[in-house]
Amino acid sequence: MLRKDTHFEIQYLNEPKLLKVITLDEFIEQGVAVCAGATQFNDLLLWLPSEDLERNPHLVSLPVGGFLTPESLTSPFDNGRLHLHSPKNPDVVQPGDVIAITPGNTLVRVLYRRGSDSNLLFMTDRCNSLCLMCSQPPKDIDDRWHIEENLRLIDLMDAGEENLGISGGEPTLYRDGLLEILAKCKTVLPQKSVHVLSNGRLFKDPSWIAALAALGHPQLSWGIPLYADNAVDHDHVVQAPGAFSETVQGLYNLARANQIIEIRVVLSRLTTPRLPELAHYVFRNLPFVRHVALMGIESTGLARKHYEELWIDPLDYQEALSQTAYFLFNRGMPVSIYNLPLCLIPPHLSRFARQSISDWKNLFIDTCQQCAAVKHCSGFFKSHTDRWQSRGVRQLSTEAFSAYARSAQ
Amino acid sequence: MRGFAVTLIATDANSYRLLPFRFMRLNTANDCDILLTSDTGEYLYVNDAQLRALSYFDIEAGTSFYKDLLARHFIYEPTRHDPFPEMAAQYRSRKDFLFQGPALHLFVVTLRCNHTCQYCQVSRAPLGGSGHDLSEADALAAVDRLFESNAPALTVEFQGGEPLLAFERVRQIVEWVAARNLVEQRDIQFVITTTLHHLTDEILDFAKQHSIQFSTSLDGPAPLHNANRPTPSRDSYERTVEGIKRVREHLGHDAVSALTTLTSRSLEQPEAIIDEYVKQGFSSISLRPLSPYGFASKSAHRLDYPIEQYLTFYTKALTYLLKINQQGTYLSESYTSLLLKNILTPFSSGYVDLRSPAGAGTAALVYNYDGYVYPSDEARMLLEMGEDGLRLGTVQHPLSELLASPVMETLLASGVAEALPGCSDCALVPYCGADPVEHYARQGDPIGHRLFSSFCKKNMGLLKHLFALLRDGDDNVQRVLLSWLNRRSYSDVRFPGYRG
Repeated sequence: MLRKDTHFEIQYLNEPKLLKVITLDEFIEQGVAVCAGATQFNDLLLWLPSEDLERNPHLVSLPVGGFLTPESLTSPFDNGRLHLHSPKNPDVVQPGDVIAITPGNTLVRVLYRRGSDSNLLFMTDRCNSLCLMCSQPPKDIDDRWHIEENLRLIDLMDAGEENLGISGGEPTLYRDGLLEILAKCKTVLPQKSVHVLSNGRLFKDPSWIAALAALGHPQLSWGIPLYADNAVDHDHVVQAPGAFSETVQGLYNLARANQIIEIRVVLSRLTTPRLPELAHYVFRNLPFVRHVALMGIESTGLARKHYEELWIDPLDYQEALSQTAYFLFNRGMPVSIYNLPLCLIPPHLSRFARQSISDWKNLFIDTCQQCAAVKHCSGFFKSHTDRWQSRGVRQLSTEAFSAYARSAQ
Repeated sequence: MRGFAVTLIATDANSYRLLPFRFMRLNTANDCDILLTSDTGEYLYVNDAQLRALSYFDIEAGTSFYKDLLARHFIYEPTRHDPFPEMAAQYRSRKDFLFQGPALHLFVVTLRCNHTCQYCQVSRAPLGGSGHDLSEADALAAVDRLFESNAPALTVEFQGGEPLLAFERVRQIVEWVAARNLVEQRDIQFVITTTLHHLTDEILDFAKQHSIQFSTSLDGPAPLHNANRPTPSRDSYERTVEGIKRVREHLGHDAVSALTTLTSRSLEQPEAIIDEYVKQGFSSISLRPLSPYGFASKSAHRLDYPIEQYLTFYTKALTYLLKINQQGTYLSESYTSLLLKNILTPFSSGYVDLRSPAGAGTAALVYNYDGYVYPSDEARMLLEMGEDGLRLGTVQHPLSELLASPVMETLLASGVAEALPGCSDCALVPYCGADPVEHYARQGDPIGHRLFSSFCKKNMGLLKHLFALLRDGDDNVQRVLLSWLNRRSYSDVRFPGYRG
């Protein structure tokens, strides 16, 4: 796990900034072309280890936005220009990353990490649902500034073909901003596939069909949660009467706009009893769905508050999970299991298990240290606690793991 | 900012309404003997008490049975959720084939044949006969008709007689179609239906060049095949098997498939027929009953059999197929696979004989050797029996005129199963089809009476058998059926999963 923020000592910062970290070689060879979109020299933060700085002190006269020294300074240095140095954790910021800094604050946030598949455009803290297990409880605030920040961030990213996520909150609440961001992704980052997480409720409005069709992003997909095959159960999980009807109509409108759709189900005491029936509902009513993700719960945010209602030991829903996964697999609908360590699923489900937890919040606990499966396992969320730990968590021996490896083939 | 308190969303009792459904007793020993089906093809097995409770609005809200009924659109809650978008989507999936014009185009290039099969579905002319070949002008017009269909995937099938006896015409048509397709850009598959007795290296090279598939007839082991399919040299089996071998050597193992015709002789030996298909390395077998067409009707007294006998044969054959598949031999029964798709998925197999509205003319067109166009292979066989009522017109008419012909109007007026007497209230109608041509042939009326309909008896028999098997069969039986559904190996379907 590599955190997405750390502290630096920051000199001469007088306004909030997004900056692209760039090495000297990259600067010489590519200049601003290292960024996918429109950028200027003062958007660049030159990666300048103290060794280079001492050897070539004249480098600080380069016309860039500032300098970053990824260690403590050996001698005091001050030329009146923006300078970040002495990081608390030197691994967090690396060349290629895009960082955000604000005056009067030593916190440096990594908004884009080079080469990672977990990069995210965070759209808003607002949401029109209030899911019992929400890992990121919504806030009723006006935070449209995310739109501008994301548009800027897109320019500063690498052009490479990593996956890019868009999430919130509920990203569709800022409809025009979201469409603008998607359009910009299509133009500036054509190699990146984009996956948006949305509850799909607002797509009930059919005007989205023309908007998404006009957008025509070739690598855009939508992850939409569905928690039950009936309105009562789904509406209860998302704490919003009418949500089921809206999401279902929204899914049909997405299909009408030829969008790529994934259904996401968070596994809990509320959703597992009718999980096979939910798979049946999806297959029968939404056969255009491209992927179903069955996801272990993240024990953070509102989930902690609703422990009693949500917690079920994954060992106790293995059978439902197996019935569900094979129902879909046998009918040709791709299915994955996310966020469940291999020791909590039977070997015959390992073919569906993915290492799904974003790198910046993924960890392995003490039990995992000697486990033969650790390199192939999803591990845990960083929010993991004993209270949310299955009685089945254990080390797999090399022999036990080989059964999983065989099954995965 | 909203509070984080949990809102309880309650369900009012007895607030549900019924959606259209049908039901049927399967006559099995299982307690849940009643099959409940929705208009769009969802189904549930229920017991008598459940059906009674459903119809008396007595199902307790919140129970799993209540939720099953809701989720499968047997009932709905007017104040909670409107299920019509889902039901509309299910209709659309199941009737998706309606968006496409005819995709199967059969070219009867000649009636000539070297066989003298008593049951011949087609009728035939002697080898050296004249006036029984498709003319060049008619063939060229038929190619125009083919491309007038809007179907993105087209199958061009050559029929006879024995089409290889008119190979030069076959070659011409394939070349015309291939040339036209440079512009049209359709997905085109060529198939030649043949005994394979007249294969030459030239034919095989040409087939390779155009990825032509071969479909042949193999009725079982040599004694059965040769008894069913007499030739002067009495070696039909040997020559067909030799042909299969040659096709595979030139074009690959899967370039040839085979169909079985079942005479009353065949019904006594399901295992022997299946063993022959295993021996020849086929991955599917088609166990279809004799059609009431061609010469088959005239010699019915010797070769035909009541459909009940066929059903007994089918049950035995399927049991044997399930057994050998579990032992590691992949051999699917193709009609069963089609029915399984209709039952287990929201889609229709699209198979011409299992469509409603009927597939004759809407899914398939036949260009006969004499330049007339028919809505199905069976319809042109009626002509050879002396009926000429089912012509759509000549191949010189544009497709739009052919499809607007009085014959098509009659067929379609009797071709919507959901609206036919005896079908409209049948629980199996979502999985079945309408076959006005067969009813016309057997009963002299395109609607016909279900009580005397062998089409109805056959499909009801097979569907009921499969529904019982899907409910009562053990996990390994389910695995075989699911492996047929998506043509996966038995070992890949490791667990059947939720039965749905």
